Amino acid sequence: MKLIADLHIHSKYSAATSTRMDIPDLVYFAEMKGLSILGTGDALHPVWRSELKKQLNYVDDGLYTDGKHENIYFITQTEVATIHTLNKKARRIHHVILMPSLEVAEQLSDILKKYGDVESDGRPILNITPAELVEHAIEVDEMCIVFPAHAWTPWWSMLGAFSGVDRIEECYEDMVKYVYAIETGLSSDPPMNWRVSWIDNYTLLSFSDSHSPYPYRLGREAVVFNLKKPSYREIHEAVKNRDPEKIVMTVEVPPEYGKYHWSGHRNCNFGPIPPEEARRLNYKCPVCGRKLTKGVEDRVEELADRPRNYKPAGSIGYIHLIPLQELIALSMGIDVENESKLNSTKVWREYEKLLNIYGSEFKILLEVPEDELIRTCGENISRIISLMRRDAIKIIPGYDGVYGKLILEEKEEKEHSRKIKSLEDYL
Amino acid sequence: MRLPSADYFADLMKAIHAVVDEGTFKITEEGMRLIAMDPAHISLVDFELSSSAAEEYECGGELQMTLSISEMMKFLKRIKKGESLTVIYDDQARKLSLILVDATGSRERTFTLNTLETVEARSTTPKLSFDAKARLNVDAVLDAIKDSDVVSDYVKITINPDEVVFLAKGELGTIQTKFSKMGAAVYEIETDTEVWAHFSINYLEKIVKAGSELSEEVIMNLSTNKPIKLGFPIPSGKLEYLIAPRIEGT
Repeated sequence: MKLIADLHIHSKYSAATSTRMDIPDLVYFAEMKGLSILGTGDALHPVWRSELKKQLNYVDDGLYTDGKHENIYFITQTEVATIHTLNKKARRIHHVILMPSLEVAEQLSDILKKYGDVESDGRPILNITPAELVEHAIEVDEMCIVFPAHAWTPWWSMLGAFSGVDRIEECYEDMVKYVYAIETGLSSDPPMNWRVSWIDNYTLLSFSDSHSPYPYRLGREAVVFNLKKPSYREIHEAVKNRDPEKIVMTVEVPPEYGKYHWSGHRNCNFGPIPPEEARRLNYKCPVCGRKLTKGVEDRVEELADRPRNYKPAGSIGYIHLIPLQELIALSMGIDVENESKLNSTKVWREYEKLLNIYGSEFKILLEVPEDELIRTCGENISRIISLMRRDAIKIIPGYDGVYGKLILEEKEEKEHSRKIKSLEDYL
Repeated sequence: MRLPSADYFADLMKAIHAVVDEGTFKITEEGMRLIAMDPAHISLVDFELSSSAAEEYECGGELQMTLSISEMMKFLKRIKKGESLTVIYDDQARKLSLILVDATGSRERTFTLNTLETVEARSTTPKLSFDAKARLNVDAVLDAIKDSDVVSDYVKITINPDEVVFLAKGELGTIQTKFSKMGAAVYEIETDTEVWAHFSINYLEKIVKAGSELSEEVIMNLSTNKPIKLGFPIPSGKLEYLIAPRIEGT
């Protein structure tokens, strides 16, 4: 059975998260999105964990439900930040941990609290090396899965330009053998990762790292699993073995949509700067004179040992999707620079109208044929969904924390002109 | 209504499901009928099963029953080979019972499905006349559609006095399947002119695939740039579909 999973999210107990990051809202919006499995987020946080224990029932094999929605499962999950020094430089790296039960999370939390405060923030900052983190996790339960979060973003990531490293072994040292996956993050996609040959040895995962439950954030990146049944054990196996039968594909936003695809300085309103231009500037901001926030594409270029468009044999597939509410807003000409526009009544009304017909966002974006969309969604939205499916929506790349901006170009609109008749025309 | 083969009933419902997720059946003493369009109004199914198809058929008067076909398909998936089926609809309670009995009569299973609030059944289909008719082997047609899918989302279907042609063009290339009037896959062509239109492969494939479970042949009726009618002869009933064309060059 195909199950779409978003296994990296946060709860309302992490900094800068929505107060609606709780179980009822997560279930409600996951159903809208078409997600079947969610991470719990922040499972090391004692208060959140006690809420999880009250609100979730253990079903089987590492999975929980809220008891009312039997098709939305939760897996125990957290993100942690580690700080350690390597070659006289401080390394700040985020990691995702998936765990087979809340009890495992409790044990791990007890161990990790000596390295940092696990009670004040859902995503604790720990003074520990990544290798020690993995060691503790697998000591508590060998079924724990630890992998670097949003591996390429400039801040707080394994390969990040500012405080990361160049190879996974430098991060996880002798514990690297227990790390099976890399989360690509919003600003990179599998083709970018395929340019670095050693990454072939790791399963590429994509999750949303969502801080709010709305469907334009939750599940914007996800993994489509094909499992015999919903099961933590099977997910563990699939990730460990890079099994293309069990991991059908990753759902990715186009990397330009991510907040760090190109370089720039948000505060100086300078960006996005393409890699060649940024290199010419020696990554120095001409406005303030300080270092530019280096883009993920630039960082991939630094570590790449393969040309663009290289596809390794046996790689797992992927698809670029843009959240439907973004597409609806684009069709209405709404500028979503301010996130509240995505949450506007106008956008929600259209979104709910489509959901009433098709049941979930993923069904609309992935399955409904184009000519049917024209009838049900109207010309505007169906045209934009179709452009998205062909990767033909132009995006001004994101930079230094600013999301990429979708734009429609005249050329693409003309390209799409076609007329589908309706049977009503013959009545 | 008692049918000797539950599998046959499941195939009929699958054929309806190729177009709609839910629909309203009109049930009379003569039998049951459903005419429904998909939400996009691109395809239509016209289904009829006469009371003579059943070993036993009783109906007190005319009534309408709106069903989630998708939900019923979940029940029908549980059918085992050789089972007979009795369908009972309780209009008051709005419940549909499917009673499955195995070949030896030793096991009886009853699945009861809540039906939906009744939506008035569609009673008309578009009035269309056709300039060409072709009767073909359904598997050959399904193959031609699947081939077309390799390069495009659309296929041009042409019927002329000598042949039926499926042509798909895409960035990858072109795929053409010609069925000659003299070939084994063509049972009949009736036209004195050439007609053609483009259709969505997605719709064609779903419909022809469902029809192929019930019939060995497909009857195609076509006029240039008009909807296509696809008929699948079934015993004591009717299974026809319409699919709207895509008009080129606008």
